[in-house]
Amino acid sequence: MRGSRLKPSTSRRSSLSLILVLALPILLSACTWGGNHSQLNPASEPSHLINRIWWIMFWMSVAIEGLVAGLVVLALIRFRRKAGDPDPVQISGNTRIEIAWTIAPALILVVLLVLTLTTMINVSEPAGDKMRVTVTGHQWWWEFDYQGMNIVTGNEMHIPVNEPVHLDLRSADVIHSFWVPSLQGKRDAIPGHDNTLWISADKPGTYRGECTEFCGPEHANMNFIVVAQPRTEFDAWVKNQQQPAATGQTGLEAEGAQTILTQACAGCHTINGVKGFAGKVGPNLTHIGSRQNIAAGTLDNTPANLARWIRNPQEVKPDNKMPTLGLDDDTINKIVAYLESLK
Amino acid sequence: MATVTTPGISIAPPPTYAPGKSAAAVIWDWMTTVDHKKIGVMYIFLGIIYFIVGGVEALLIRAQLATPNGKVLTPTQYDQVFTMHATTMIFLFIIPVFAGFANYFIPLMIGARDMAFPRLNAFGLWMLLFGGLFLNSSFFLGGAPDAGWFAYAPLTEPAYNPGRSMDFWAAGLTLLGISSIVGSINIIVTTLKMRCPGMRFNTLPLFVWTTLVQNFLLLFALPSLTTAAIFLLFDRHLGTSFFKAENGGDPLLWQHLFWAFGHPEVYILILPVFGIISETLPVFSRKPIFGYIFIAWSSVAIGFLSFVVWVHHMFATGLPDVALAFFASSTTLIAIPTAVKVFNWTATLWGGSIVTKTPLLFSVAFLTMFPIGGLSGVSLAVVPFDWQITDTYYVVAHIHYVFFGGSALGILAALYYWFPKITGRMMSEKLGVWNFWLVFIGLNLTFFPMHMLGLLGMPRRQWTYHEGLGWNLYNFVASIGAFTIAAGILLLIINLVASFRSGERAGADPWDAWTLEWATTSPPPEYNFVKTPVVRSRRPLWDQKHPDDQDWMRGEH
Repeated sequence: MRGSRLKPSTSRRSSLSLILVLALPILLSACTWGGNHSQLNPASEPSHLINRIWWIMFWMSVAIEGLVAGLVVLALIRFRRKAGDPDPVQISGNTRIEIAWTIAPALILVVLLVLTLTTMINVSEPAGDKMRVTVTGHQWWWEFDYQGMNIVTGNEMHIPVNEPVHLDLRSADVIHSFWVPSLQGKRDAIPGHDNTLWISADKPGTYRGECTEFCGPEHANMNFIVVAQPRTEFDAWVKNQQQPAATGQTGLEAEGAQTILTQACAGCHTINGVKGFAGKVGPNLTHIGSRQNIAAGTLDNTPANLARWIRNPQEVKPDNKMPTLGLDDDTINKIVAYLESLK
Repeated sequence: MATVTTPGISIAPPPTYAPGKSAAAVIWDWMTTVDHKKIGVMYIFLGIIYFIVGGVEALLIRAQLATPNGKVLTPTQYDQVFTMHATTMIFLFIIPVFAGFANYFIPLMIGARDMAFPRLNAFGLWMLLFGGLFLNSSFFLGGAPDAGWFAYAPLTEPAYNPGRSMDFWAAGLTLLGISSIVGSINIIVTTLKMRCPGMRFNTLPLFVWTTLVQNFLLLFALPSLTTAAIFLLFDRHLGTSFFKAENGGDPLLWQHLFWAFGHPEVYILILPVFGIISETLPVFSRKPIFGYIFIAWSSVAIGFLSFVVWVHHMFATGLPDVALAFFASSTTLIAIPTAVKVFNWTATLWGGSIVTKTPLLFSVAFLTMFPIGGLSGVSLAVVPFDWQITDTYYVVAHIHYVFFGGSALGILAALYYWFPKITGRMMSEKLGVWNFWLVFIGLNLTFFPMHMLGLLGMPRRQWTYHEGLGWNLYNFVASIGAFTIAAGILLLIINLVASFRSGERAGADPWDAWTLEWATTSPPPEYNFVKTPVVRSRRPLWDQKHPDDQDWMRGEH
């Protein structure tokens, strides 16, 4: 570009590139709406309502930004100074117009505020008896204690489809936040506070959740899933979860049942029905064999991954609280076989 | 007809910064100066250095997050980097640069010789340098602060953060707060007490107006942060339990104290830019600002309202619905004065005769980018939507559209606009245009995809993310954008250095502007004006240049 003046055609090219730069991400975004972990894929009444407000606000914002940017770009093209142009009329305001464009946004905002308040009411917890789960955030995993049902599990919550569930949110250490985007807004789990939330899924499925309050180095790997099942399947899950750990293993699994008692695992973990295995630092392992993920959603639950995790938790999830115990492969394989048998 | 007095243009030759003195003498002069212009330059210089530091921290973040399961940084390294990125950008870049422009230009714009308290001014500057060095020394002394710039308890308590890093944070911010507070006192007293004859409040340049409001905000908001920081130091070292739930304290107390500062802080970070844009847009549109009164007094409204919205940072903390409804209302209300200004600025351009030099490019970019941040901000006031979207990348997108698309673009506009006045030389237009496009495109590539990331469920403050969540492409594009911004800033630095050395000589008034800083040489002599100016309108130089069509003759102030 020569000298200090842009050539006139540049401004038209500039406005085109401006539009492209802004449009591209929007176009790209049409490709995915986010699977089971996005509020753009609602699977409950509250998240449907919130999703609707989002789209209203999105189009409203497109219109307003389009208006402002459009006027600015138009002004740049239309009122570009050329050499020798006289000074423009020295207008310094117009009270009537300014009042008008103060009232107009105010009205739009009032509508938005009314939408806010009514939606807050419409997503509030429905009255009536319901299943209650105590959710406790730990650095860096989630504990789910089904009140009065003798079920304590970690990182995987099952709920019956179409039935609201009440959650009591607690923290064992720092502030965490429980968020399962497809089902509900988030709520913080704050030490010393009794926060509550409710969730319900309107169709069966596995919904991913995340911790959404910075809670230390492994905040990124504190994920969980909510599995919504038809009532009969849920009842079967409950029945299974209420059983103590499976016994009667043979072969490698049986060796693992013995080996695990000689290691440090019981210091942090609980396996119901196994004497002396009542640690409270890490997740309950009674039915770990039937869980979909391990290490709070960091790895899929496969024997190979479980072995990798036990061999070197610090490599998988640096700074998490499970120490690397320096176990040899033989010991690990036995323990993995045993744990995977705990369905 | 009354005698029309016009501001005098100094006939003394422009002083150079090193008039034949030895290097040691020059350094000593700058270290011991109480001259508001030299102090202003040092504030801006320090701010730009820290902009680069914070920018490198941003590039580290984006390098780590360019791909899933990135291995550029470990979790603890990442936590230090993202904490210091925000802390540096807010306290060591934006605030000091604003302090620099305010110190340099307020006395000039109001026709004064210096600030009200020159020695206090110098004290504030050196406190800033000391505080910045102190804070950053933590990297070498056991680790930088790593609990986020917002430092939520109890993650900052000794049980979860046993090292020294949070002590550096709390003490460092207290030192920086002292610097800001003394600066605020100085700016407020100067603006209130040292205006030249004829300069009434409604005659003040809008940069002075918005900076005045900003400094009142600093004065009233910082004590909350200082209190919180001191309580934290007490909890960490004296066994108190302000924020420890197990002993009757409350982590939420931290959040209230922090955000009672933190929310006014974000208006502190944008108000001067509202003023800068209100200076550049008229000059480069060749007509006055549209709706001076609305812009001036809506800034005051924003100032007051900014103290009653802080809970919108805490919508997900379990506070009662009634409280949330109140703060949703106040947050929605504060959007109105901000929106109005955008229309006023657009109307300033409309019907003008627009000169598309670099300051205008950055100003227009601000005018189109800041509203994107404003609109996402309005959506965050919708409590149920906030319950979904808070603490995700959508908020990161929002804050960066207002911090970068707002504050940083405004600062770049100010640099290009006022560089000739400060140094007596013009910056290169060619480099300026390249700087502009790289930064503008980079900013959108980096931050626009983050809206999508938030909507697709990506939380913020995470050192990594998993495969298969649909987040890869957006993160990658964002990282490309960050390096594009870096390239643009590199050009800025080159432009600043090269133009300082050998830029075309600027006269007193290279932009044909109208406020008093252009009524003296570039750079100004130490005493600013030969004679104290006397003004009769908001555009004293327009009046001087158009004796038959002065603003006050048309009934304009």
